[in-house]
Amino acid sequence: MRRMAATTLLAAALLAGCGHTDRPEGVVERWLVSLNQGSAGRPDQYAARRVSERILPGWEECDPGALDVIEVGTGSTIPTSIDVGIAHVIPGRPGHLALAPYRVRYASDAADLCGGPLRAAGPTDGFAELFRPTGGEWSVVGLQERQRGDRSLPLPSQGGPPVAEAPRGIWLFSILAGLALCGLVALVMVAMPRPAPVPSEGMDPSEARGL
Amino acid sequence: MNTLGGITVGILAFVGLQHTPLDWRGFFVVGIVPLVVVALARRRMRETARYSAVRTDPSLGHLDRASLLEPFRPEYRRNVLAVGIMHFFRFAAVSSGAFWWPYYAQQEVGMSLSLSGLYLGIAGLVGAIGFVVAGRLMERWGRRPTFILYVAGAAAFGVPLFQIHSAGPMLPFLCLAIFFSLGSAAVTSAFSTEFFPTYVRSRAAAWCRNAFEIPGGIVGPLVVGVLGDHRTGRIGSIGDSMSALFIVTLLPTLFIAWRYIGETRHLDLSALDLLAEETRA
Repeated sequence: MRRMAATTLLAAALLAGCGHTDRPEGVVERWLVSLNQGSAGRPDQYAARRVSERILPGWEECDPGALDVIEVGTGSTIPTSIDVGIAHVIPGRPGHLALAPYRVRYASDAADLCGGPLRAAGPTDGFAELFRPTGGEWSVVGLQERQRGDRSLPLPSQGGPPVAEAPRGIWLFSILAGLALCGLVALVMVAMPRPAPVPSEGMDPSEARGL
Repeated sequence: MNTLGGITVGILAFVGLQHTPLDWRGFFVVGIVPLVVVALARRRMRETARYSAVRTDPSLGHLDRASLLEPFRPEYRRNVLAVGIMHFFRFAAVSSGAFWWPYYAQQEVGMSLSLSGLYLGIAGLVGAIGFVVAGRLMERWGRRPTFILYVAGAAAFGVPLFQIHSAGPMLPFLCLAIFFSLGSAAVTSAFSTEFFPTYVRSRAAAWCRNAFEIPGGIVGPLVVGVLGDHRTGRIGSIGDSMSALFIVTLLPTLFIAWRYIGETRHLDLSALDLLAEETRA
């Protein structure tokens, strides 16, 4: 009974960790990662085809790995320093808008992987415009280039914050969870029979017959 | 040998096996070579004395105990569970780190695919040294203190490894985390075999690996992925999820090693076999 209660508690703690959130930056990252899979990817799940074509033209013909660097930063808020104007993309549709900074760099053998020279038209360092219709999911609807000297929404490699961070209490919680597991192990072990003794002294090998 | 196999694959990739007309399938073709070697070399392996005796002398039929559940007999049960649960927690941490580090380096630190691959290659070589050093230390100091040192080292370098957000300082932490994480496997191999007499040893090791270690290798990366997913994860950071998992799993690993694992250095395995028979009698 005690073991079952402990297992239930552990399962409940794990399930509580599965609470649903929906970060637009995560959608941008999934889109770029999927795009980087080339013919094996499904970037259409996250962005319109014309947007994908701006980063990796002819991605359906590419082998995986044409993008050597994919980085996405925090960007759920839109600072006033950026002329957003995403509304032009989604005229008259109710929903939410977001902007997420990203950076890509092409692999040195990208032309080989895609069967010809790349003629990317999209910015390699810029902002992805996202739209989520009411009741729907985020999708990338456009791209903006980061203007020279623009330090808004910095990427993690530029000193910006990561997409998300653990709450401060996570470290204390981890230690407590580890100690709880120690207690659980002790409960299991206390119910086990005493193990067979282990001889630590050597014996005459002639007496042992591998039985 | 496991690590050596991984390094060999890395060398083959470095020399460009994937650029042959077979593409990535070339690795599978090369993989046939060790299978052929094993198939031929196994003919020269000797049977154990117990197996030979049972086969040749019908009066020794009582020694033929081939049940899959033999390691769970009362005299072995506690050791199987202690070693198995320890395997579970250790491998949950190690496999998660191995699985998620490239993703962390590329997506959360901004490293390129090629640089993270180079780092992993260097750290893999250092990790192989960890195996060798662990093998020497467990004979000199004993299995248990060596294992505790290695797990503590894995935690000391693994937790900060996933909190570093620049490529420069990451390499030494990665090397040392792999050194201690993978090196501890040398000791767990001893734990999963040396507590058990010959006739049940392989089954005990198989239980430890298949019923505990492999599930740990599934659960660990899964939990980190669910919690750290950038879109839907509760934590939303692979680095923080990994560090938290290291703490959660390595604490019970250390606890089990300290509290429930005996020392088997200088153990005479033949004497263990005799003792097992005496205990049974």
